[in-house]
Amino acid sequence: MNAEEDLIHEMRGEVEDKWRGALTDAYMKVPTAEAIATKALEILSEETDAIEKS
Amino acid sequence: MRLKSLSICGFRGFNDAQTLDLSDTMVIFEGPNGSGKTSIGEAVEWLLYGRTLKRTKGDDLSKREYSGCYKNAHYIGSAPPYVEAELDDRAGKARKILRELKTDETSVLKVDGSVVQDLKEFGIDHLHDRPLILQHTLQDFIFMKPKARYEVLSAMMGLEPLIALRTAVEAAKTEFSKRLPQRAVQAQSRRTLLVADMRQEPVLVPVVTLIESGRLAAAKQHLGQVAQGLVSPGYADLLQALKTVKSSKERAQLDWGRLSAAVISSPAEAPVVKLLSRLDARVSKIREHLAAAAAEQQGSQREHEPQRRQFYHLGLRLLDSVHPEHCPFCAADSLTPQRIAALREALAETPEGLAAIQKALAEVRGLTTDLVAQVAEQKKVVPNQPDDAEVRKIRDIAAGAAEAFLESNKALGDQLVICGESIEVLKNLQTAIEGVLSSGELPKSSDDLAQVVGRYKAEISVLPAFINGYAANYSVLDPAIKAGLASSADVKKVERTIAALEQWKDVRIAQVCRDVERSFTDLVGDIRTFTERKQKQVLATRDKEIKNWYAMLNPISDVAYDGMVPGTDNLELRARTYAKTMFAAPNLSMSQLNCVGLAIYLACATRKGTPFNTLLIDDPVQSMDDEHTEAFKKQVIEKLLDDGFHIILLTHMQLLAGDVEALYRRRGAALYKMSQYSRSGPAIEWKGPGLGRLLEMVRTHKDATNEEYRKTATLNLRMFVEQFVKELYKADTGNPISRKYEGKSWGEIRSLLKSCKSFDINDEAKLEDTCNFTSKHLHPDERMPRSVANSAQLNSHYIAMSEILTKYKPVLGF
Repeated sequence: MNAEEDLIHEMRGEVEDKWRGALTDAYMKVPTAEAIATKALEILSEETDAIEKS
Repeated sequence: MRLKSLSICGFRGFNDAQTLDLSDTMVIFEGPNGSGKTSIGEAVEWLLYGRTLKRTKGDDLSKREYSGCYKNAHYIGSAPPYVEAELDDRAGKARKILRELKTDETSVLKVDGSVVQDLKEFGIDHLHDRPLILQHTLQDFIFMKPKARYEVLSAMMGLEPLIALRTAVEAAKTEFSKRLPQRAVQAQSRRTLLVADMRQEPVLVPVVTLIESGRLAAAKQHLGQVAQGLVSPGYADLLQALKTVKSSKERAQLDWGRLSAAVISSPAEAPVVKLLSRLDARVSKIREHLAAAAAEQQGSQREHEPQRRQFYHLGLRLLDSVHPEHCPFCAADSLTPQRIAALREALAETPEGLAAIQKALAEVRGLTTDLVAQVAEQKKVVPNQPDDAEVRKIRDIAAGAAEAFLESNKALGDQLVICGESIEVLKNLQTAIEGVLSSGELPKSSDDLAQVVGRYKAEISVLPAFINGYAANYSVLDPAIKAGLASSADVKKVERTIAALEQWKDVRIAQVCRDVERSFTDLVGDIRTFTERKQKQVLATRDKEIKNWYAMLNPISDVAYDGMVPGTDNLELRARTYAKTMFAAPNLSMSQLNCVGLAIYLACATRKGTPFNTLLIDDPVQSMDDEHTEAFKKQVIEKLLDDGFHIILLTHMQLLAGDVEALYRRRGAALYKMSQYSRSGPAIEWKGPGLGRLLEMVRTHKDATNEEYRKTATLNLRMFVEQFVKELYKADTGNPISRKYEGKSWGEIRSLLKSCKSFDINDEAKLEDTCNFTSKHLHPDERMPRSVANSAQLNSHYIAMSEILTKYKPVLGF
């Protein structure tokens, strides 16, 4: 893990909220807006399906 | 990353391919303006980042003017212009980086022959995190906007990933909203409408508050409690139970007040009854007018015109004796249209008769007025009666208790129908009589006005009793109805509760969307906070380093740089004079600002964890005075070398170049002179030794098939030995070399070794062996080769001298 990844890792370590934790999963190495948004939409879709089925 | 060599072809000032040997600890390129020095710096910059700051800024000014400036103006080679570097990576492994310029000014990057997209594997990413300190960029940082300064400094400090992260998260939030699925958009829209509607219901307001605070579990629980309060206990399905309640409430909705009636306590006093006497009066008047005229005429004509009287009788087919009630000349009460028509005919011949007819006609018309008033009064006292739907609802609400009221309602309704029919008969008869009196036209009706009025009076007279009955029953039923009534508010409350339960999935999905959006916002805030904290941490040490570098350059100054003050997304530079703090950019001199810029770049380029071991410095003291220049030469460079940095120094100042080379010769500084710039590119000539450089040249040429190269290698070996002795003496004893040794060869200078305490006497034989080897191949006076050594011989001496150099590097300060 290089210095940049160290920083992100440290930053992520401070984020405990479920959603923000999930979002930070998307950019451990390459932070692109599209990757983060895609991750968020994936999780939204999963949660929507779960709600619809409940 | 440490650069070992740089090959440039067709780029900027370089036309023909040239390879610069950068293997020495410090490499100085000295040359006048326009000799190509800056092209070396730009070549390194372009190689690492694919663009240069100068070009980036130039494109902002005029893309047209700066277009095509990477390629050398004279370059006509068929191959693309390129810059290539040999280097050691962070692990010490030998690597090659090549960047070729394409015609559209993009480039192809290769590492060890393979095309790559970037140099992140070397830790190289951001243009501002660089091993280059260029004179023309020294003040860039100072004259940036504070926000840009913050971002650039963060990048220079290695915090760029956090800035990139924040930017990415902000952009992702927008991207997320744009790409939101239709189901989520629909849920958000429904949630908005639902919450707005629930807010209208006081009992549901706490639920709304909980929803808006994102506490959906508590909101759902509260909503459940509200719903349970609206249904009877024992339900199996809460939603179904609510729907049943709603249906029941809807049935129990009735405008009961609309059906109320004023209680008429006394029918005789009721206006509707009072007016009836007017009708009687009208009838009496009509009779009086017609009868009086008829009686008068009858008296006169009975004697004088018996035939005519008989005619009337016969014409009407009426006989006094048989039907005295129809005889116009009898004092009968009957007021049928036929009799009135006969009277009119009989009376119309005399003026008195005509006057009587007109009076009767006026009374008949007055009868119309009275009827209208009568009906109006009747309407005032007759209550609004329930329609069929209301009757059903009344039965729903009050069940059996409603029957008496409904019966009285029916009786009233029936009576009103009867009254209505009588009014119609009376109106028709009135119209007929009016027509008879006006024109004499005989109508078909044979009703007697007096009788019809009498019947009408009788029917109307009992109407108040029916109304009173209705009213009395209304009053009796009123408490039962009111107890069972449901207001529209009641229904709405149940309806809203049902809607909230049915649309709860929308609320949850919308909440997920809101959670994500809030998380994006929170995350940006967290990154800002984290970045600021990290920046302060870094600045706590880095700013100290910056101040140290600045102090090194400005040993004594009344006005000085005082540090950086970071904000959320900006960075201020402060200066201090006699304990007074102020902003640096507007208050320090250009020379001082250059020192600040240099100190900042030095601190950042030498930061812990920097991927760069090589530092390229281009004319750093160009606008500095002698004191600053001396500080740079003697302290800054020494500190960099002490910290293990490999320095490439570009300068147009001959004195500076010479002094630096002399100062750091013993540490391996090599001096190159750049002059005679031509269309083929800069002319670069090696001017001064560097022990590493000498051995590198031996390594480069020892295996060459070309004898001339091997001769050069031999000469370099000899120069290495003699230079080594002198450098070791200076480093070991701290004394300069006496002038008497200038230009002397091995035989004269070997005695210097005796004074070197660190010298291992066993190594003298190795040095002598190499000297003797080179003597065999060099002309005794000119030291020019007289015979050519082979590669194997050269290699063995190269290895021996390399071992010597390695062994004494600590003494020599390498």
